[in-house]
Amino acid sequence: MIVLVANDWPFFWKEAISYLTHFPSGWDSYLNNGLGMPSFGTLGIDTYLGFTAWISSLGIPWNIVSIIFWFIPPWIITFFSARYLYKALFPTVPLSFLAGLIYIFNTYFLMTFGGGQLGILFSYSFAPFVLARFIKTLPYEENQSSHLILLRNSLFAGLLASLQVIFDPRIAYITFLMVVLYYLFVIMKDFQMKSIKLIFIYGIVIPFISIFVLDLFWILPLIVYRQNPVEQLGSAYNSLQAVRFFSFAQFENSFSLLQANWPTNIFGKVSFMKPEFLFIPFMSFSVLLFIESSKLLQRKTKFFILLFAFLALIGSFLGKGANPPFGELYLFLFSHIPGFYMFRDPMKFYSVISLAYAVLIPLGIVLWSEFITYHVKKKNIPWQKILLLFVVIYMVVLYRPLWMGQLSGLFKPYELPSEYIQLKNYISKDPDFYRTLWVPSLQKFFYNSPQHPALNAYGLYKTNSLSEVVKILSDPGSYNLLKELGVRYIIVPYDSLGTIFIRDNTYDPTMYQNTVHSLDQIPALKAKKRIGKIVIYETQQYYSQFLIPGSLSKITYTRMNPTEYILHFENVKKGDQVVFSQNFDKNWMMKTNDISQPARIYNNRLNSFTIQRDGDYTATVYYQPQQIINIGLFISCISFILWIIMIIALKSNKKKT
Amino acid sequence: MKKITNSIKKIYLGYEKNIAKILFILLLHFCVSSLVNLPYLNLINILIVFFPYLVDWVAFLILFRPQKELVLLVGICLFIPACIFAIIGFTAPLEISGDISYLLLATYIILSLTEIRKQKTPL
Repeated sequence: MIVLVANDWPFFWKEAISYLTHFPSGWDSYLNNGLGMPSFGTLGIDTYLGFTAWISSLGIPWNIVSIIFWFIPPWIITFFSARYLYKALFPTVPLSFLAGLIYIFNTYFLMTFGGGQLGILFSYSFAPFVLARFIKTLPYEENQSSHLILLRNSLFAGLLASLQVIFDPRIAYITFLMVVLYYLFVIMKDFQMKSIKLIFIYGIVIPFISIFVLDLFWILPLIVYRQNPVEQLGSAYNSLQAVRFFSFAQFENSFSLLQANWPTNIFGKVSFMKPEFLFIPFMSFSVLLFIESSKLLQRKTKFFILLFAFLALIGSFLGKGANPPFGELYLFLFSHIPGFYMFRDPMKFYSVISLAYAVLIPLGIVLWSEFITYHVKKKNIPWQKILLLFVVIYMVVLYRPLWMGQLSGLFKPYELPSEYIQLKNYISKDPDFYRTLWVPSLQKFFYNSPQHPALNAYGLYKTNSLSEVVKILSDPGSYNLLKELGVRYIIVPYDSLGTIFIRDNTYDPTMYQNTVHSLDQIPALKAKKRIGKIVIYETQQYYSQFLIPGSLSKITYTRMNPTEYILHFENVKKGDQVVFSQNFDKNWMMKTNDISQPARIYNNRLNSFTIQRDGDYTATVYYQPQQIINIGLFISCISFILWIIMIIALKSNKKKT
Repeated sequence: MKKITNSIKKIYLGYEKNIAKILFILLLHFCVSSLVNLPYLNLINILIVFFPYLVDWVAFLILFRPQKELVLLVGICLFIPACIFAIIGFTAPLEISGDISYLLLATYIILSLTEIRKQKTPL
């Protein structure tokens, strides 16, 4: 079986897909963390994942669904979106299709796709479309001055921006920065109260109300429960050290739109500057040489050329992050500008550079050909076509790793190892709840489901050292924790992709052998099973998802969805503690006879509730923010329909006018 | 001989005409370089390493008022030596030429924006 996997694109087993088809939920019980975590920050993209999983549950294989709904759309939307922007800005200038091609065929898009960051790519693909619609919220053409038309454009811009935010708020934030820069240019160009009023009403208030209302289902719980998804990730994500570490690109890289990891896409492996990429900024900025003299360009287009040249400069400055020159400025922005803390990886700003170059390069071809035609004697030579051919050949040569199959991740199909199919069959058929602990980390083909969540040893023990993990597991005291977490199997994976047991960026088989040898010596691990190179150890005891420690009372449960469980108590005693083995969150509640109690922390990690009375009865454990999410979702859905109706109504009004 | 004398004279006249400006920029450079090493003000130096040079460039633009087209042309032409440095793997001059090119392009755009303000076209 041939499959596509990448760093950020997990492999979903057919048996586990159906578990993703639930209503948008505020608690991720197993997908990104085997112990569960709030999922407010990823609710948007999770909703789309749930939708595609639902389509797959209708009987279409996930391989096909993922190609149709995840892999192909970013390419198509990206092409047409960039083409749309170019045509909107320069309606009389040819080569709009080249803008679409350049916005796709650049190292940032290709590396992001290869890495499986498809949420980012969806958002990236919407960016030119959103920018174009925001530009249309102002009457930059004489015939657009009707307030109804501006209102329609403004609502449409808000609708598109809300979709972009759902897929990735960071790229959407960058798009809004571009919009703000456009507004500043407009104000600088024509400083009048009228233009400021228009910007305020149609460019800011209406679109942002639209975004707020349409995305309320994930914004509302963040506001009500005052959660910051980035802060929850810890200092590894939001410290200045993290920014310095993630600033892989040098200034010359960002200026040339050369993604620092091109073409290997190995995290942290930065390649040398490639001189052939310098032609990209040369071609882009050379447009500026002709904007005064060109007869093809209208006067107002000069304004947009300067805007995009400026965007390219800003993008390349921010894309290099904390690297010189003026790297400290990026750190300052990261610490002081609201929202900038989302950009510990400065390469997200490459999206600005690629958009700017996608607009400037086709213009460059047109203006260079106009210049050459004017200055040579033979006027009948098709210089534009010659230059276009040259640029296309240049791109083919530049991105040769793509055609030559040298790119990894989603560009490279993998054979699904039969060992993992056997392991999946072994685990998925077991009806009992338990977890698996993968030492040292999860392999791409691991089996994961609400019934059998998988834990990553590096994540669980908060270390990146294999010897540290083995040392912890050698300590008999560490098995109390594993017992409470319900870990039944400890699995040493078969590293078929060569991404786990690596030393100096290359696979080292001795690391695997040493790990197996060390775990073999641990007496607490009783049985051992081998499936090919996968080694499975069984722990001596493990608890279920719900348990009453030190009690003979019986407790069974039914999982309704990730945020609701029905518990059936038998012969329980007042004062006993029910432990719920998911990461502690004070918003988990237990409801018995209309009385709700919040979760209390158990052993610094899990949730616990106190039994309120003796006997046999049922109780409900639920995640409280889900109620807010449901309200937000209702408002978002109604607003979406309302927005569509308003846009269509205003369009028909425009036709009548 | 006359030609040489004339050209030297021409250079000297240009020098005489601009000497005050050149001296002012040099003085400014020394003043700013010294100032940014003083306590508290050295924070500027930490934040913006090339701050004195940035001030020099602004002063040069104000005093000499170079043609923006010339600034742009030099900025774009700098890609050629940058490309040569990249081919031979000479990183330091590559970075410097890239930085200067960036500065010149940014200057061109800023100078153009002031002109755009004067034009009366729809938004």
